[in-house]
Amino acid sequence: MRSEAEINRVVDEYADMIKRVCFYHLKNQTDTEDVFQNVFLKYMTYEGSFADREHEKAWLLRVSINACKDYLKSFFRRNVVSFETLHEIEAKEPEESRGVLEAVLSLPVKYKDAIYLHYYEGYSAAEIGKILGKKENTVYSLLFRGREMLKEKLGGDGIDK
Amino acid sequence: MTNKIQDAFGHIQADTRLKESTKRFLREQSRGKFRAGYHPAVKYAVSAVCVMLFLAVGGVGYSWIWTPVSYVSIDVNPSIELALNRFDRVVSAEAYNVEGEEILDGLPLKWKKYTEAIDTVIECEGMQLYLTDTSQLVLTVVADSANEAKLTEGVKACTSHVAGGCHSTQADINAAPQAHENGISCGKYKAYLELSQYDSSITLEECRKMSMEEIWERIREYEEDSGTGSGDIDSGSQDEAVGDMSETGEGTGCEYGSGNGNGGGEMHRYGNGSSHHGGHHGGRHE
Repeated sequence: MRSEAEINRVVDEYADMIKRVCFYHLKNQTDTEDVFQNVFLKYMTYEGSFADREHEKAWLLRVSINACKDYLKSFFRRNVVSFETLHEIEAKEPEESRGVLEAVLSLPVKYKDAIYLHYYEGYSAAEIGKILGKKENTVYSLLFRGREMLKEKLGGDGIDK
Repeated sequence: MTNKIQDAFGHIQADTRLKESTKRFLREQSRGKFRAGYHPAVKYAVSAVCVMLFLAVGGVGYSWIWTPVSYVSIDVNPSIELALNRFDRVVSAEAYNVEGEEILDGLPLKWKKYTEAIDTVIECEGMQLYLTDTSQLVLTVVADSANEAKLTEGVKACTSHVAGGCHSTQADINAAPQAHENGISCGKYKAYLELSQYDSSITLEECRKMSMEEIWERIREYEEDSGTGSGDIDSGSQDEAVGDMSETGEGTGCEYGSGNGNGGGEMHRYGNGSSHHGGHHGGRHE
């Protein structure tokens, strides 16, 4: 059991990151909050230790992604879907960013994970492989195909400026 | 590319409300756990102590339940011995000859109260073949002084209705290991010791093959030869003699191999006083 101070630090430090992971998987306010809280609950009860902050961050990312996938598999989630969060957040986005966000969100999950982890969090293919439990070459392939799909959706250079 | 993705995702942030509600949720989940603040080592130590306590209690319980503390031998020709735990329940039933094995085969005796187990053995079909007018059913209680009287009383109750020759007696619990090492029931071992006082050539192996009726017959013959008087037996019917045994054999505190104390029941059985065996020995030695 981790201390309250430690948990508060982790919530403050990683809340945005986990919210983004939950968002691009679930696109729903209620579901996002459920999974969001469960991820931190898992952290609180995790008995293992972390080598450093990077290790801790990667652990939280992997747990968040898995928690979202598990949630999406649940019967309730498969049958009741709301897009309130998606529309709420999209409304705040500038025109150009909104298009990119919609394009990324429309990708299959495995591409979204690779694209987000690489282009937003800045992980290398090898690091993404460790987080997602995939081979490095598979990650390269996911990134390549994800980029191609975004180019098709967005036209022009896709997400390249 | 990176900038476009970062621009798109950059607006997605956890607001203060979500962070605070999450912290509150986690506080509620951990309520009491923070306060306790047990180090994992303490938890492991407590778990280990619990396991050890469980094993210790289990071990003692196992020992209490499974360790035999007293025995009841049932000897006719079939030679059977019931091992009883502290609760007077049968923990094992041992047959000391083939006839005994045939009797025990399929008899549900384990965990039965000793009185029920004795009833089951005596009343089973196989045993009826051996309980004749001339046979001797001898039940020997082998227990410490604290349990001897209680067990003897139960044995008396079990045998009160048995027709034919029947008596109960007691034997020293300390001699039980010696009897078992020799592969013989405590009851028959006691009879062997009795006979060996008159006939030093008699062996355990011979006694093992003899029925209780045969052993007692030999003892009676020696007693008659010694002139110590077996008038009651000679003149009375078998039933009368048995009746004497049954009455006096109980609660007389026989000891293996002891001089005047042993065979208190037998003393009355053969119709003589306490000098019976002592007199007999004296005769032999003279």
